[in-house]
Amino acid sequence: MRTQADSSPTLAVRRVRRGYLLRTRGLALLIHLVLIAGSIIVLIPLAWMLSTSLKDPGDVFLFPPKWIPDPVQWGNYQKALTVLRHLRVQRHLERLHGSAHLPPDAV
Amino acid sequence: MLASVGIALTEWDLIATPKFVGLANFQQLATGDPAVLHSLQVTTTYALFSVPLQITFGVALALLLNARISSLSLSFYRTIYYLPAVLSGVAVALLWRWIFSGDFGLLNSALAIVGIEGPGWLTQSEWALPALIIMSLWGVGGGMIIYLAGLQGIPTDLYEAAQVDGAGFWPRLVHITVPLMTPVIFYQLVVGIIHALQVFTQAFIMTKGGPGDATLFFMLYLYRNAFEYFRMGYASALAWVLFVYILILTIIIFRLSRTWVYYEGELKGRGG
Repeated sequence: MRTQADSSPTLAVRRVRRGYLLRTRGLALLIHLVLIAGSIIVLIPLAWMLSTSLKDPGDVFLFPPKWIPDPVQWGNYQKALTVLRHLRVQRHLERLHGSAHLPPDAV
Repeated sequence: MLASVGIALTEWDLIATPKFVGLANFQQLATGDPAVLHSLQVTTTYALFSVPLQITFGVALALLLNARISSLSLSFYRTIYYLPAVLSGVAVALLWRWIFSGDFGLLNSALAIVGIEGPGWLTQSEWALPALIIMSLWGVGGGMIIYLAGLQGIPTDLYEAAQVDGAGFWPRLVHITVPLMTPVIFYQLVVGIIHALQVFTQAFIMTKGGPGDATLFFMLYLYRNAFEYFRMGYASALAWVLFVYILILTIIIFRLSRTWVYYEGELKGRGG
C-alpha cells in the first residue's frame, strides 16, 4: 500500500535528490566530452587513411591537406585489388610450372 | 635457439661455410662496437617512456569506459578506441610516416592552425624518438581491453562498502581500484617492456634508424647486421645479448613486484 509520504517526498529530500542528479548528469556529460575528444583523435588518422586512399597521387602532397578528394579516385582500389589478383595468378602459375620466373606481361 | 648459439660462435655471411671464431663476436660487441651500447640506450629510452605512458593512458581510458553511462555509447566508444589495435604494424607505420611528415603532414597542419610551426618530426634527431613514442600511444586500445576486464573483475560490494563509509571518488580509486588492478598492471608492464625492447617495424619503415642514429633500435641494428652486412654470427650474438637483457629486466621487475602487486587470494603473513 502506497502512502502519501512515498509518492511525494519532502522538499528537502527533493532538493538533495536534484543536486545528486545534477552532479551525476554533469559527470556523465564530462565523461562523454572527454571520450568524444579522444575518439576524434583516434579516428582522424583512420579517416585520413581513407581520404588518402581515394586521392590522386598529386593531391596527397597538398598542404594544408584536403579532406575530401577531388576527383575521387576509386581506381586506387581497383589497382590494389588487381595487384593482389596478379600475385595470386602468379603463385598459381608457379605451382603449375614449378618456376617463379614469368615474363612481366604474362599476367 | 640452440642453433643460434652455434651461429653466434661463428663468422657466417649466409653463403660461405660458417667459420668458427669462438667468443670473438661477443668480444667485439662488448668492446669494439659503440653502436651496440647506443642502440641499447635508444631502445631503453623508448621503453622507459612508452610503457608507463601506455599504462597510464590505458588505465585512464578503461576507467572512463567503465563509467556508468549508457551501455550503447560505451560499446561505441570501446570499438573506436580498439580500432587501431587491429591494424597491421606496417600499415600503421606507413600511415604515421605521413602524419609526421614535416612539409605536408597532418600533425603539422593541425599545429599550424593553432599557430605553432611543427618540427620535422622524423627528420630532426631530437624529435624522432618522441614521435615514435607518441605514435605508440595510438594503439593504447589494445591494453584498454585488458584493463577493462580487470576493472570488471573488481567486486562491487567493496565500492558499496566504501561508499557507505563515506569514501569519495579518489579514496575509492586509490584504496580499492588501484590495489586490485596491480596484477593486471604488472602483467601489462612485463609484456609491454618485452614488446617495447623488441620494437622494430616503426623504425624500419618510418625512420630507417635515423636521423643520424636517433632511432637505431636494437632489433633494427640486429636486422642490419644479419641482412644488410651479412654478419649472421654477429647478429645471433646480438640476439643473445637482447635476450639476456630482457631476461634480467624481467627478473628485476618480478622481484620488485612483491612490494607493490597485490593478489587478493594470497595470504600475507600479517595475521588477523
